[in-house]
Amino acid sequence: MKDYLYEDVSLKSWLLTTDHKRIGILFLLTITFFFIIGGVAATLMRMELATAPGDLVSADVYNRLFTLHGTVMVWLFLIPSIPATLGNFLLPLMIGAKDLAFPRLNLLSWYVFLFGGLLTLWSIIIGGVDTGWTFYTPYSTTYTNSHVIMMAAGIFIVGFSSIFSGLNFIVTVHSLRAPEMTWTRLPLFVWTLYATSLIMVLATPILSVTLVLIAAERLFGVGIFDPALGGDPLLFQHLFWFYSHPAVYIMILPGMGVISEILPCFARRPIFGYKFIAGSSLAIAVFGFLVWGHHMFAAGQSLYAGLVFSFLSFLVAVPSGIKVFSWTATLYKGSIRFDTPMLYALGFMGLFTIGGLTGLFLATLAVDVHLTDTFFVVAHFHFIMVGGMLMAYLGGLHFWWPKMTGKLYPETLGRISAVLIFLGFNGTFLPQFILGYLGMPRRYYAYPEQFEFLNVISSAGAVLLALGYALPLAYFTWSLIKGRPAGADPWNAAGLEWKVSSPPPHHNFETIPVVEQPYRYPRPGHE
Amino acid sequence: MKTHLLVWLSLMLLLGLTVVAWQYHLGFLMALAIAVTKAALVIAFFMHLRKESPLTKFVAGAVLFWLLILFGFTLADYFSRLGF
Amino acid sequence: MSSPPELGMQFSDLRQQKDAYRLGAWVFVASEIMLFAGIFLVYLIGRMTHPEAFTEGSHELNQFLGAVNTAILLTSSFSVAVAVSKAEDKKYRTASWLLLLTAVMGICFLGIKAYEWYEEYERARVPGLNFTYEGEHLPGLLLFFWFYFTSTALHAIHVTIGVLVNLWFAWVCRYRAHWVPDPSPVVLSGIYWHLVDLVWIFLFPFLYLVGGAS
Ligand SMILES: [Cu+2]
Repeated sequence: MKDYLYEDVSLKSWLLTTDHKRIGILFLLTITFFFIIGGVAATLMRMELATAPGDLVSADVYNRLFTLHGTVMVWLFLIPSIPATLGNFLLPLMIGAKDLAFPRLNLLSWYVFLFGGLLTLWSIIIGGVDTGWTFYTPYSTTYTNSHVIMMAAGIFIVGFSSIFSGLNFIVTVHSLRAPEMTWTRLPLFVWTLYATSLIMVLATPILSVTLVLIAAERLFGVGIFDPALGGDPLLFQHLFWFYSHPAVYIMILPGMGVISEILPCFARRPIFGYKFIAGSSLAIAVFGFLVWGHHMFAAGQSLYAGLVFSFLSFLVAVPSGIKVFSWTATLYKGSIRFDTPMLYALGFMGLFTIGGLTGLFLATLAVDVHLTDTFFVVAHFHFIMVGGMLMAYLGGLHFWWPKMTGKLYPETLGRISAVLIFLGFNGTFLPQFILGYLGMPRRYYAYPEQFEFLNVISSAGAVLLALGYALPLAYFTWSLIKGRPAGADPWNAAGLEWKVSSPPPHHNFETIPVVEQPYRYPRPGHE
Repeated sequence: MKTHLLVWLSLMLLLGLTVVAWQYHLGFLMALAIAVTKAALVIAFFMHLRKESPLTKFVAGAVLFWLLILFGFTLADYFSRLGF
Repeated sequence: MSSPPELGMQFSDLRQQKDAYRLGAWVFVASEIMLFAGIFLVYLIGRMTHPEAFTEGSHELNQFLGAVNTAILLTSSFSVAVAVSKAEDKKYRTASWLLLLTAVMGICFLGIKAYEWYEEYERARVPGLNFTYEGEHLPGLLLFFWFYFTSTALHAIHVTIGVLVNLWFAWVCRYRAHWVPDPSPVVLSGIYWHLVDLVWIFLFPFLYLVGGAS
């Protein structure tokens, strides 16, 4: 019985595969490529900001750089990251299914993503789009002389990939669970993927509409957003954030799921508050739709709307708080092992908490007026997106790498990379909170002398961070060739995915697997 | 078959009604109410939502809920800001 | 035990497969509804901002043909609903005729729609192609007609896909009934056609019936 990697090694068999595991790998390769591009743009920006005057690149190039960085990282890396790679690979394995419900739709989702992604990339690099990832109007529709329409088309297409994956996941979770896999036995990672899919299916269409409207205003001069044409720029922000705030949860929820898998395994304790974590995932998906106006406090929406959105933004912190408490309680009295995935998970907990708490500052109407469009906001969402999501993604990748490839990576290097990233991340973004509080605006390529010291620290931190990211890239590749074989269950972990060999066979399960209670740690009969 | 026929007849009736309402200037809300009624008939009887599983009903309910969020919050801002 | 040929390898039995496809169809419908909802929201705000222009634009449309087209779509929805229940009773011949009828009605709808578009083209009302207007409601009227063309075109694309699907299943039910031992695919295509109808139920008053008869 050959595993899914070697069952047929021709290029054609990869390009036409409907195996969810192979499609997960295709997504992994694709988003790694986009991550590197986005990372290079970030590096250039930090180099420019290392000195106060704008000396390395011109203002124009800097605008394109932050557009490239934001667009690629948000739309082409973070949104698909965990769902499309780990989610695709693990969801059927975790629920005891042979594949997703619609395997061909899954492959289509990858092709659509690849095409849309490359179109987007091209529109920025060749077409010089300089609107930022948010496309704010009327700048994007009336003033910029760049290929905004092409970029909008690219993101529009990528959106369909998201919808397809979401639809596939929802149906799979509902109809393909193994007979004994009840809802309360579902791994929490699956719960978060389910909640994420709801957002993808229900919110992404609104983004599609918004992008079409941008194209219409640019092409035909239809007055939708531009006040000079009788439109309303706030309408754009309503539509954009109706999708894009929930999209934050598309990015962070699967990360929370990964953490909920890693912590019990390395603390050798059952997860604390299973039902609370599962329920709060759904609560986040729903409440996440009620707070989009907190991006518009300083944009001129009505005071009443501002008050309501501010209040609701505080409420949405509650389910996240429940999760952090449950995770902490899981660690309490556990026999903790500090393997690489665990280091990433602990890093996640620290950084995500800081990111969440600073979010409360920003949700406060009066404080937000002071901090809007400063580096404080930049630091805040990087703590959530990079400190939270990316840490979880890398933690999950380290946790399931042996399963996906059948190979072990060098553990010491793994731990070094986790520590490097944690230190480098704090070095980069903690100073930015102070910079923002002192009033340094975002998206400028030059700044007054007095901000230089903190910016130098930030850039130095970014060097560490870059090293931290380069390391896994190197040793993961190395492990493919030289890594020791992993065996089916290198972490002694609970969960159906560890019951099959590594890498898993083509159709996952020969017979219908036996399902246990989730998170049965310590493992009975093993320790 | 018989239910379907009745539903079709009521749909045609409502279509006539909406045109008449337009002729008598009964306004947007009237037109909207008629359209919602027609949609409800189509969903309940033609798409058989009535006989579908609870899960399907849940999906339909979820969409309704999300529509309320989208329209409710956006229009709330517009009404309180511009006072249409 | 060998599994029937129409069963996908990821499913354990036909019932599971049927449930999965049914749920998939409804989730797809949910996503589509959100898409059109976004467009309707923009419409609503445009109409509240430019009430006179939207009334003027609406009065330029052909109410009679719009109403006829609505009647056609409602009737086609009826015929597809009957076709589905016939298919569920394994009366594939009748179902085939009804699906064909539905497709023909869809084509009539498209024909009438195309004629209306031509009328508006003659009056120079197509944004990006020949829109010219000298009156006092310019930005609003342009918005109205952009909305009119975008939403009806998006809807027409859905109708076209629906016509093709209906033709396909009319053929399958007539000549290849053994391909559909289970009528689920016909049910799903019916759900899609009703969605097309649903969207038009809102588009008709939103476009044609603004501000009362003049
Ligand atoms: Cu937000």
